[in-house]
Amino acid sequence: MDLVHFNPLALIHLAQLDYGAELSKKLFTDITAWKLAKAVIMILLAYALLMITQFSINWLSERVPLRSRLTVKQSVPFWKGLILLLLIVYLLNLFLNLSQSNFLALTGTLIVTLGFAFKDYVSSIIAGVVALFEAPYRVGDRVEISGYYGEVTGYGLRGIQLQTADGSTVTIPHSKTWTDPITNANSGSLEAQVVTDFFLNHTVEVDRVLRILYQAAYSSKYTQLSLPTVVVVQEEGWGTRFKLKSYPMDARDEFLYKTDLIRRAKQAFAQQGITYPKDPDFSDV
Amino acid sequence: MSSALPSWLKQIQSWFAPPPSPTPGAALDALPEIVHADLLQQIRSLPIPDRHHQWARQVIWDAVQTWQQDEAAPNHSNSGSSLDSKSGFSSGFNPGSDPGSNSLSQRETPNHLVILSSPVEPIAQVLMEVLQDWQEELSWINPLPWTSRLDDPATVATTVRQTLEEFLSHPLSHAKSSGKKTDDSPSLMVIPDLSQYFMRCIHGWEGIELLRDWIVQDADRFWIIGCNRWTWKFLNYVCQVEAYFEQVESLPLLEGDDLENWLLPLVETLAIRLPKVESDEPPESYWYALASQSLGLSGVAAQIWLQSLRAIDDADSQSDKTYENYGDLTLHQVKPIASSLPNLTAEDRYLLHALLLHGNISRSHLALTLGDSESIVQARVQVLLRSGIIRQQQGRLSVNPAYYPKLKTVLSNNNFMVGED
Repeated sequence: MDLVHFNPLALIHLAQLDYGAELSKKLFTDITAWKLAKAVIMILLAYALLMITQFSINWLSERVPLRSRLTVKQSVPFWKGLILLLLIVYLLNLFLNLSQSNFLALTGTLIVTLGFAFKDYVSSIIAGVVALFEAPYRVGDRVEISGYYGEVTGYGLRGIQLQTADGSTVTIPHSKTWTDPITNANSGSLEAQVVTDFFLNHTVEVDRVLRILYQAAYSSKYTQLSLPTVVVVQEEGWGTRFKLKSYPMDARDEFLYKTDLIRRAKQAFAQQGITYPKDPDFSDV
Repeated sequence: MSSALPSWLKQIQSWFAPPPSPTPGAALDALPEIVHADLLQQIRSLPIPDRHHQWARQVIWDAVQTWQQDEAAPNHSNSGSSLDSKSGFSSGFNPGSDPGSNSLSQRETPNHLVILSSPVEPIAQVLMEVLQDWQEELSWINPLPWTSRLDDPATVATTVRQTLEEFLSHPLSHAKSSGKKTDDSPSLMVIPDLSQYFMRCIHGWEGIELLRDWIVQDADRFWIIGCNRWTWKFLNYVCQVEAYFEQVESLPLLEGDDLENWLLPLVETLAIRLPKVESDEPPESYWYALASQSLGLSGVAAQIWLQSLRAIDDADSQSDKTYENYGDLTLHQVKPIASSLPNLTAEDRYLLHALLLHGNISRSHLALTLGDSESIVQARVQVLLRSGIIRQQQGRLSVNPAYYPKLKTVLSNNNFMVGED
């Protein structure tokens, strides 16, 4: 009897099963208990290395001179990426026979399977890798994303950690870079411009106020004198807004700096009788 | 033969040369407190190094001569002045000219000379010692004679204006009270240390702005101004002083020979015995090492030299250790090294930067410039005083010069504005 004519579909199915089994045999190495143990040990070692790297670099960045702090911090994602890459390569070599055909078969399966199940996670990982090169933010930068403003203190696989002004840590996935605008105040520099608003009465002498604000900026111990200090004046319905734009030597001192500027300026305003706007009178509306 | 080597080569040799050898087997101790304190006092009484004296004298001479010989000035031909044969300076002056009025002077040469120095160098002492040499021949005066900052920085500008206006209306009486010769009122104005009229706070440099404008208009007088380099850099940022003062010179840095010539007389005067240097050791290596460690600054060099002294007590244990003439002590010089800094917090760095910016300053003024309460500043000051990195003299705080080289590096690395030595 001719088997092909008897049931061709069964034969194709059998052939596929044979092929799949053959492929498995070729793709995966023999999985032994020792290999599994090695894999677990390497994963634990990699995890420990990641923790040590994060801790060491954070520790070192606070000990080096200010000018080197951001350079040290910005190396964190690269070290982490290197450790993860080495781990993945090791595990792949441990469990897989990575010939060209095997590699193509494997990646094809993975892409289809994982793409649907973990699309957001993968999207964040890819966005994180892209962000390493495009640098919309780096460790040490002061950024605003999705309404959260703070210093980038961590750069993980999936997202970044932001330390806000009130001490909270916010984790923002890298995938936000695809859709949300990112405001970066310093882009890798130590200094970030600080804008301090002053609201004064319409009747104040503008020149006198400008002089006080410039002096307040120059006399603050936090001010980076080599960067420009500018005061911009804007009229509002209820008063005059003065925007003092200046740079502290360390962007971390942003809020202390602002406090110092306001304190100095208000002292001078009080001494010179410079007044603040009154509440608007809506009685005639 | 070694004296024929260029100074840079001697400097490199000093890095590798061992220090002079002490007596074999003898233990070297730190100086007794009483000896240390006495030597410190002696250092403070030293005259300025010869190199500074000669340089300042020449620079001032050249600048004043050039100004006096400016033939574009009608005042020069009308004053009837002549060069004094001894001092070489003209004693002519046109009293009654007021910088506030339209001056007829058309001098093209600058009427000022600014001499800058490191914050730990005694620039006021340099100017005073040089000008003392010309005391009999030359009329000069400090129109702003107060030696410490005014209590209220908001009043500095007003006080400066009033003092200058009063001076101009009664120049002879001011000259008399200062002991100068009064047949001609002075045409040489001296401000030994400009940083004393400035403070980093609101209104803190209005006095400097007023002085700046006054000097530029006051073409009939020559102004000699000493200033801390860090202060000058700050003033340039805030009121663009370099646009107004074009004639600016810097006190030169000292080399090993200069320091040796300066400090050895002190050693000889106090009859301190130094061990003989071995024949194979370059004799000047110590002084070049000292110049290298101190960045060529006399104030720093003196402190590092003092710290490099070690003692061997030659007297027997029953003798009275009064060290009246140090005859019982043999002092040795170990390799000079600039002092290492203690651990500094961020607030310490702000405080130390403020001290270097102002030269010396009182506690209350320091708190004012830092924008902190006096109690907070006082706590940090006490810690830094105990560590020795700052010192207090006559109620004013300043940085110990021995720490200056390393402190400057730390401040620069932490993004602070520093002056270039």
